[in-house]
Amino acid sequence: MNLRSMNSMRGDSSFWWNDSINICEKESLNSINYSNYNELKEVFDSIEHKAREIDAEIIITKGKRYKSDMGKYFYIKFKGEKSKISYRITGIYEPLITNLIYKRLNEISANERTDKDDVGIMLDGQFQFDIEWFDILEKNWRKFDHSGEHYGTDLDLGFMECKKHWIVDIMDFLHKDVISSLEPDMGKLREMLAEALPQYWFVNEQVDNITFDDIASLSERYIDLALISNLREKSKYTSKLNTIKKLIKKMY
Amino acid sequence: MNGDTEYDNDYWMTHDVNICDKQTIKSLMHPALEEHNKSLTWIQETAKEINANIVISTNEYYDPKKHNSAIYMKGRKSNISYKIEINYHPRIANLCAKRIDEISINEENFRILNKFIISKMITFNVRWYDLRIMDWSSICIENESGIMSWPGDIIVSVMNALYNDIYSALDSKMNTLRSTLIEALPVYWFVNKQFYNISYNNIALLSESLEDLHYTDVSDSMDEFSQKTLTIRKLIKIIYQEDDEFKEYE
Repeated sequence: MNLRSMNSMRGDSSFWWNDSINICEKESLNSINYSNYNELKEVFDSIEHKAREIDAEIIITKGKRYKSDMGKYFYIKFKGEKSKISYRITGIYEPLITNLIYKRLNEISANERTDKDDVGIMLDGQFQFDIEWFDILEKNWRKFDHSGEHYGTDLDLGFMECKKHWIVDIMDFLHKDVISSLEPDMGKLREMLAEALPQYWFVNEQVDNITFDDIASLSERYIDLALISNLREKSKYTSKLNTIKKLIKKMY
Repeated sequence: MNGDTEYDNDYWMTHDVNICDKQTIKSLMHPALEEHNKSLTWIQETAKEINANIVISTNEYYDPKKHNSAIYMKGRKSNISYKIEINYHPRIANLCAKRIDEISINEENFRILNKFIISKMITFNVRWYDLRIMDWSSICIENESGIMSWPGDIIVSVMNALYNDIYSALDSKMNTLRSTLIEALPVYWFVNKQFYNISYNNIALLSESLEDLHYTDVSDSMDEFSQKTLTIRKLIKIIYQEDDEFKEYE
């Protein structure tokens, strides 16, 4: 009996404790989705699709770092297209929670899923993502808090649909980091770029023969923009953002 | 692959220092960073002037990624013992050296260069020796200046500020040094570490005056702060029996 058929044994009340990975698909994200839930497969498929598109590396591993011994985690590693900054998204997937939820999720109507916080909390528990960038000076990955910005959990979309978009969008936004920084809501990204771009210039990772003066000027403007409120000083903010846009256009 | 292996192949990841000069501050020099080297020479010269002792240590907390050194010195009047712990990160110096010659340094680009690269090459902590607990206590002194100075230059400024601690504490921005002196002056009197036959009453008066100054909000009342500063200067002059010396720091 293979794992998939084991998982399909709905009558087995303890099946959701299973933490084995599907060895037939061990090189893909679906190796950690042995649950036969199409929604989950779609999430993994779209992450893998985006990874191929942006030349990201996906590393699947398992470990005891997180909530339960059964937690699986995977890394998605890629570089900013222009900046060449190294990014790492660590996905932590708790199959135990997924299996527990899907055991009876079909008994809850779609509307109820969006309305009830406790369902949302449960759904949220099956996935967690850490977003980091590689700090050359510290020689370590540094957390990059993106959660407060732009992409919150929107259960109206349907949780899995939302999660799929969220992580794929994050990959996309970080890959196009310099361009993404022109969006008003991307304050944390700008803050990180202001620090990371000068570092990465020194390891000659950036293309287009950019001078340090250009990098310093961009970094300075990011810092300057952070001091202005998008709400209270709208026109000043827009004007400074446009200056950054022109500078980026000239540099790249 | 984890973070530790990123960029490992690059030569600038090396943590080595110049082993020929490992017992002196020259071991922290880098052949491609002239300004950095100048600032280290300046530290050495200043140390001689103020009778400070530079120790390049490899203690039990030794971390091969950074080189820990310390400057031990005393306040000129207060005789309080200070230690400036210096952490030098050769990897960052090597990274900096990789392309610094491509940069024509000016005030504008130096701000970013310093903020995100150079200032991290040498970091430092300042401590004073608290005789009550027989251990070093931290003093928070940060570099706020926007001027084009390398970390070594900042350390020289700190050495001078600590050497002239009693006057430096009158600077409105020297909050933590001021609060250190409020405590440390009476403590050091007890071990007879101060010169000039100072009475305890005078030390207590100076400590109280500094405390009063400490709680005067300079942003609220600049005049009041200046007035109090002037009074304390006069007090210092009396306590330490200064004449010409006073003018030097006025």
